[in-house]
Amino acid sequence: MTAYTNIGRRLELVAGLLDHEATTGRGMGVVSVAARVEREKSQISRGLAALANEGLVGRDSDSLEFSVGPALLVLAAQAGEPELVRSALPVLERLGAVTGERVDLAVLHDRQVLTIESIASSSTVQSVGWVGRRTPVHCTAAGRVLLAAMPTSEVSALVGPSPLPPSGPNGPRSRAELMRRIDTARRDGWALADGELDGDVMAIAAPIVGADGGAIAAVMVSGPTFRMRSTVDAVVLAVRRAANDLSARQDGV
Amino acid sequence: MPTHPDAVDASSSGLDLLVAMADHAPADGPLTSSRLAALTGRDRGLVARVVDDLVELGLVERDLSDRSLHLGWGLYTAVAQVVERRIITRGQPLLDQLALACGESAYLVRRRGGQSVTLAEAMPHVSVRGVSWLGRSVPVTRGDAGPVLAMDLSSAELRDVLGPGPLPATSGARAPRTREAFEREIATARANGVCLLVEQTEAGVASVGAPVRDFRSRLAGAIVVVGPSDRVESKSAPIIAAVRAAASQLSTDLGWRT
Repeated sequence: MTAYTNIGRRLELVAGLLDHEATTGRGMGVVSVAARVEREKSQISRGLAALANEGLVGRDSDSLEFSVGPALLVLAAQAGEPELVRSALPVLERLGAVTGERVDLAVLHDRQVLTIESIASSSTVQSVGWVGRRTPVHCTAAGRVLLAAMPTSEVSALVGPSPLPPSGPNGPRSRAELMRRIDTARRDGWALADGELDGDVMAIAAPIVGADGGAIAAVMVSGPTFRMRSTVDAVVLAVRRAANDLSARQDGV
Repeated sequence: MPTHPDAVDASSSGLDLLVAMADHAPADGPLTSSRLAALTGRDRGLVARVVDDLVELGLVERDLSDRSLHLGWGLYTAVAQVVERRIITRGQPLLDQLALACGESAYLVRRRGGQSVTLAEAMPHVSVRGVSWLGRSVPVTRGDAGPVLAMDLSSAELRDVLGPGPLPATSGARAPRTREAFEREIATARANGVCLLVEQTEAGVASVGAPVRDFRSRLAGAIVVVGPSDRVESKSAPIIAAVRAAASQLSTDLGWRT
């Protein structure tokens, strides 16, 4: 087990509360926090009091449960690339209106594809569970276009050797097969994954290219294969247009 | 007795380090732990070890190419998830209080494309009251907080969202019939920070809506009180004050700062 510094031990409590509230929507009592980090309750109480003082932790006056504090929310406003999401939002919204399907903005993060923004299709109300979703890089359309922008040596290091981790029915099984699909995506400037992650989901993605030529993020539209199959060509056009539109804005900033 | 290097920070949470990372502009060059130590006036060795902890905890990220430090997408998406949950968990009790205080129905609504969707609601205990709108949507131009939900859109974005043609009709005598008329309602909502719609969304109905913003300053939705025109108009001042206060409280809970 890692020996954290004192500050690390304090902030371990914040990381625990953040993860818990992000996944359950609820705060935690002192006992639960102590159990989570495997430490004494008395020690935890002092740590939480100090964190509450700084605003990194909040406390509900009725339930007395601890939750993520205002100072952390303020910090998060500067995390990632706020300007990328802000400028992409209207473009993603328009893409959602045109295609009628879910639209995601995703980046490469910790060897996975991380959804950083998501516009729901017409039938769902909230986007809980989509932003923050992590999917494998080798069997998603977004992963494909992000890998296509990288040198082959880096791709190899990132995806590891064959056989690749299990995926949907049409996912690539070997590294060679993945490399062929990446080559296709590189040549076309977009990627289609049909049943690669989930059996009946089709996804189409294109990269947002930064001023240095690297892929900053991927724009992806996904929906049930039965619905998407008849509209593939139109969706590809719309996704590429949206991604190109956002790429063009990266030069000026 | 020599003090352990950690002893000096025993009372600190390390917020200063996180703030320094948030404030660091990319133009100032890569942020290393020694730079971070200089910025915060802390010991270099200590900062290097704390930074390792923060990276392991996922609160801070290290660039693979130049090893520079920053607050990354992991923190951003986790907080975005928290906020998406909180809008309901913290919004519902506020709606309950609001309905009770105003004696009218209170709703939490959000714009989705050209629609206004109801995320949560609370009804007062009186005989004439609203019906459940939970999960239902109406065109944003007919929404009880429509102008508030559209207040961050540019004219071009509004045109995209509303689509071509005349606005959908309502039974309200004062309903905006053109996009220009709706844009005037939006301008009023922007200027006042609140909208009061009388006989617009429906005959005999009035509503008061105020914006809810999150940590990104993004418009997360609106809190709105809806009731019979005569009743809402007769107590419009206290209703406006109560709706503003509830929307402001929820915005604070979502990390918005003025």
